[in-house]
Amino acid sequence: MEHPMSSTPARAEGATPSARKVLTFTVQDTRYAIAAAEVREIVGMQNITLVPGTRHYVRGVINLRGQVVPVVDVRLRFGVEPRDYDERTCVIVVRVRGTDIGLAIDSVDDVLDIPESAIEPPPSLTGGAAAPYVIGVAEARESVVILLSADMLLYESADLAGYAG
Amino acid sequence: MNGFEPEEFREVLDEFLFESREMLREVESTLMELEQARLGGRTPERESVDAVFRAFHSVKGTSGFLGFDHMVAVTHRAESLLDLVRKNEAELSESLVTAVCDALDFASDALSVIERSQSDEATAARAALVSEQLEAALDEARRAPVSPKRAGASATAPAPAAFAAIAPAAPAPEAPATEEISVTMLNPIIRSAPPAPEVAVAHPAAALAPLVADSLPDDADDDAPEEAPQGAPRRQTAKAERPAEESRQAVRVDVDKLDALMNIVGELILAETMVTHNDALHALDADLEGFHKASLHLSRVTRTVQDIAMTMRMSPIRGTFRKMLRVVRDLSQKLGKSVDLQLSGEDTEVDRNLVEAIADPLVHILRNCMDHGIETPAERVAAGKDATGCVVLSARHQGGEVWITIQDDGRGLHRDRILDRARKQGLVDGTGDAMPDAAVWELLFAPGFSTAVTVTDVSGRGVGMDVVRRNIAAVNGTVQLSSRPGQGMTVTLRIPLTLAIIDGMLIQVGPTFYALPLPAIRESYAGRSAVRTAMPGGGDFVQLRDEFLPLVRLADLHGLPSASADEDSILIVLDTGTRPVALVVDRIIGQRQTVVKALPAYIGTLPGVSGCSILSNGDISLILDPRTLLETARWAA
Repeated sequence: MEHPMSSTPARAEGATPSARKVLTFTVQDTRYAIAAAEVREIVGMQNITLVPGTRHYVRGVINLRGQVVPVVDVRLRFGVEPRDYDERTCVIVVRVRGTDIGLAIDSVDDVLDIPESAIEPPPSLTGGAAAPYVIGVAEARESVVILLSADMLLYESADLAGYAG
Repeated sequence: MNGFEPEEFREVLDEFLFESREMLREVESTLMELEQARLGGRTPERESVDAVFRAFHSVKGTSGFLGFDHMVAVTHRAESLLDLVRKNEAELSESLVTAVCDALDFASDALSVIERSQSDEATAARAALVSEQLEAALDEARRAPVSPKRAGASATAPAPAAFAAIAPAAPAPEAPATEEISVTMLNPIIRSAPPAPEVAVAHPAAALAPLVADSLPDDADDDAPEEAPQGAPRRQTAKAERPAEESRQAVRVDVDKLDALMNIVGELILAETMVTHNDALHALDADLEGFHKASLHLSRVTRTVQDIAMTMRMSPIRGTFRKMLRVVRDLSQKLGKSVDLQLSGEDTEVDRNLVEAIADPLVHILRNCMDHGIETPAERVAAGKDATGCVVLSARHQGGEVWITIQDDGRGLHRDRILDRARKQGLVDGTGDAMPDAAVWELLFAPGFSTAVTVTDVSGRGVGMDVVRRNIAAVNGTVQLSSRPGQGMTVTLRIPLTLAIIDGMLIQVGPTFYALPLPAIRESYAGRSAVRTAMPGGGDFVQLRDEFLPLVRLADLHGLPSASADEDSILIVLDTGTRPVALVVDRIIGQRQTVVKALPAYIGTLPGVSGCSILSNGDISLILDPRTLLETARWAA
């Protein structure tokens, strides 16, 4: 599993020498991708119980066949204006650090193989760093896909302290 | 080696470890009883001395059989020492008890070393040291003259009335007071096939030390380890000595199985609610009387199953309490204070998880109590008190909770000193002089708070009451302090009996369901019947009868859209542990058995929320924790 080049645990996961299998989805008209290996299942949005007072981007919890699963609203995480959930809203359940967590996103697109060679590091804006959860960008099927680290998306970098990946 | 197949050896070893631990635990509490008798000027109970002697004897026997020489060396000397006491050749002096305590500690630790199959070099060194101490105690005991009182008393088979209450429980090494295994083992049904027939070989000590201690053969002490019988591995400890009344059958059950049972009972109750409260029933036109009868029956049966499953996990708090006797004894010596620890309510049964959860907090509290609370004998006498301090540790059931109180007759909490310290640590604004006592005591729970003038190695490292509160909060309990200057203080731990299933009241606010623990609900009112008053600077209150209650709007607290105007809302008067509040909700749905699930670790702990529960329609309700609800209220304000 050790990937010599990887500095974050997320990069090592799901990485193959030639291509990465990813699940793409849309939030606010932008396409994103996370490693398919981290995805447990995709469910439609269901009754969510709001849980206040936790991380600001945690919306609440859902009942996934008797299991109580927290749901992170990716819009809130990105700092994008939240919107009401509709019939296209999906929850991608990922397993990160041994825990199942749901990602509420606008809609799910596709599963793709993105060649490693097509992945560019996140372009930096006037020297500023991109959000820590952005691994890179790639072009796939004539549109731009932003590759995300599910781990960094769900945990603040401060949470990483003491976490030996 | 020992002539066993490896697998067989493991089994014999496990049996040895289990039984020895159980015996040592009993020894500890019996020893503390003896110590108390000694301090109280009473004659040590002969039977208790015998019980301790026998326990060391049998541990020695099997240790020798299995080839644990260090254990033999130490237990043999402890046994010899006790034999002198038994034969009235030595007094049960303080140093003697200390030496036996050391032997006991060594034996417990050595068992752990044996269990982990560790190298025993360190054990060897310690065995030598402990043995030396025991030898010293032996020498001392042999030299010391025996008081005529002691010799005379034992000649007439003593049975002081003071011991009548504890005697039946104490001598039997298998009294069901173990907190590690909630069911005593009499009948190893669920264990793997025993290598020896079930008919147990009599306990070696049982043959040598019958119940009537006076008829003991005098040479019983000198037997070497090789005397341990062949059948030792499967023996049933001291079975022959068991009082006739102890005829209840019991099995040893893996704790994991009990946990699994409790979990599945939770699921069962959930499934039952899903059936009996199913929404589809409302749509049915049919006559449902038969169904309701049947579901009532189902509910009763599931409730019974739940009760049984819960009681299976219960064990008396005695074991934990007895351990405290030892803690207090050791501390008394260390601090040069004389303290009498009195126990009450030892038979109070609590969930085994709680037994584990309260042990550390109790030690902490007792330490604080003895270090800061109880004065030195000189100070006590000067204050007109008995030179010996008194600490009462008691447990009782109160509603759905177990209350454990630790009450001392020491100097009580020092309000000024606490405030002084709090000001230095920036915990209070201004002088704090106007703060009510309860609020001042609350400062003691601040992390890192310590009032000890000098830092001792007993307490006063600044970790203390905050840790106690955190540990108790982990089992949904609360800690409260009260104090009377010069007369002592009381610490009260209130812990719910079980964590798995609560009687809940289901309520609704906007789209969200909540469960409130039923015991915390005092009453509820229609919102329009209450007179509201808005406070300048925020914070409303209502007047209900002759009480003013702060108004807590759950919708505001949790950022929910509320469906009803204040007039249409419902006020629930909640006990929060400190003061009652009026909780504003939209709707009361009804009483439900609520299976508590923890919130996912990712979410962490939330003030005001103790967990969640899955409702019959599949939705999730949050379970409110009235005791921490106010923390959110403050935090939201």
